[in-house]
Formats: sequence, structure tokens, C-alpha cells
Amino acid sequence: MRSFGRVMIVDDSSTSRMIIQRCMEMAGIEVGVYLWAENGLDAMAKLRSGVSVDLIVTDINMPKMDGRTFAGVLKGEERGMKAGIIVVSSVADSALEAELRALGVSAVVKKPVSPAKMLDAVGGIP
Amino acid sequence: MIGAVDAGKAARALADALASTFAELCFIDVIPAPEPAGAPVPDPICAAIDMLRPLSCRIELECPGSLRRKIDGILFQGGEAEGGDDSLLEILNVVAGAFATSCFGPGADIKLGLPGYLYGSEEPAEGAALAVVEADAEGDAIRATLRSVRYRY
Repeated sequence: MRSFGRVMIVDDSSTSRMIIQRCMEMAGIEVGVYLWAENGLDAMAKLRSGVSVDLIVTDINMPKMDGRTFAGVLKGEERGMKAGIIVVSSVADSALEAELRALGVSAVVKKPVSPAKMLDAVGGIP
Repeated sequence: MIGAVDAGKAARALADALASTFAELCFIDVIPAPEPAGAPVPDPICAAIDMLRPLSCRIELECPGSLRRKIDGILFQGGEAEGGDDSLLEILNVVAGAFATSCFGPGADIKLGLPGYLYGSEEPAEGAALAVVEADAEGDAIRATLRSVRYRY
């Protein structure tokens, strides 16, 4: 079973953040601490302040900084790239997935997320 | 036809998206009516999301306050969401993604806006209704409307 010390869930919807966390719990993925951020900008501020995470689960469609931009910024940050990245999106296609994978994203999960989808996604984290 | 999408296909895709999203997200069975009857949704809460590509349109979702409270009860198991009451917005976001993927195919370049609530006359409905789906959500009436909107982008 996969386990992570600190997981950051980045989504402007508090409902979505809760659903993602619950799906990971239901899937039996062991997580020490969950951290939440409301968008890419908020997440970057937390990471740059010294918060370290092992896994980032981020939405695509967010205000201020969307998930695609966030992944691109993370790619240029040594701290961010130590974490696995999973993207969740209500719209997912192969072109988007290829673009995100080039930015270091390990898996793309189409909403609605489920325990099975999250388990499958974390299986792709190196 | 709606742009490149048939109106009947759009209505079916919207009905399917509603049913699958409510079932998967909050375990509520949604049964679309064969034809919209125009019955009002009691004590309605209305949320909307814009689609910017490939079709310029808006999806509006009306549901009674009692249903939103029921959804919150299911999702939060009696507790409250941290940071606001956005369960209906997340449902609409997923409905829009499912609708768009169904209508335009999994490889389409789809761009959605951010979902938001519409309050009273603050945001009057604009644009022609291209498809309307009325449905029963385990005793609560809901309505989804696909509306043509011309954006400035």
C-alpha cells in the first residue's frame, strides 16, 4: 500500500478538496498530513515558505493560477519537483495529458474522482 | 444544430451528464423527464458555468435548496464544508466536463470557465435556451439549461 507523509490538495472548491481527500482515505492510501491550497498561487506561496510535501494533487481549472501553469512553475522549482504530481480535471484529453506529463505530472484523473481512480493514479508515482 | 452539435444530442448528453454526475458524486438517482414541462423548481438555487470552447454557451443548473442541503449532508456527513458552500458548483463543474466530452469527443479542445451562483435578478438569463433537461432527483425537481452565449474572447 502506498503511503505519503504530506499531501497537498490544490483546488478552489472546498467540496472537491474534501472529496479528493476522502477518496484517498477510502482507497487505503496512507497519508500523514493533508494540506489544502485554493489555487496554484496559494500553493506556491506555501511551498516557497518552506512547506514540504511528498505528493501534490491539483485541479486544472482554478482562478489566479490554474493547474497547468502551476505544474509549469513547479517544474522550475527544485522543491516542487521532489513531489509527485497528480492532476484532476473535469475535462481530460490525451493532448492535455501529454502536455502535463511533459511538465512532470505523473497522472491525470478525470472528475468525478473515485477511490479506484486515486489508487490507480498514486500507483504511477515514482 | 447548435454550432456543430445537434440540439437533440446536446439534450441527451446533458441528461446523461446530470444522471452520471449526481450518481457518482453524491449517490442520488436523477431521472430525466422525456420532455421538459416548464414546471418551476421550488425555492431554487441557480448555478452557472460558461463553456468558452469549442462552443460558446452556458450551462445553468437549478435545484431546490432542500436538495442542496441533502447533497451537503451526503458529502459532508452532517458537517460543513471548509471555506464555503460550493457543492452545487463542483457538481456543475463535473456535469459540464461530462457534457462537453460527450458532445465534442474526448480529444476536443474544451475550455470551461469557473462555476458560480446566480442570485435573483443580478444575472438575468441571456441567450436562447438551446436545450432544457428537467429531472427528478429522488423527489426533488431539478432543471439544467444549455444557453447560447456570445463571449467577448
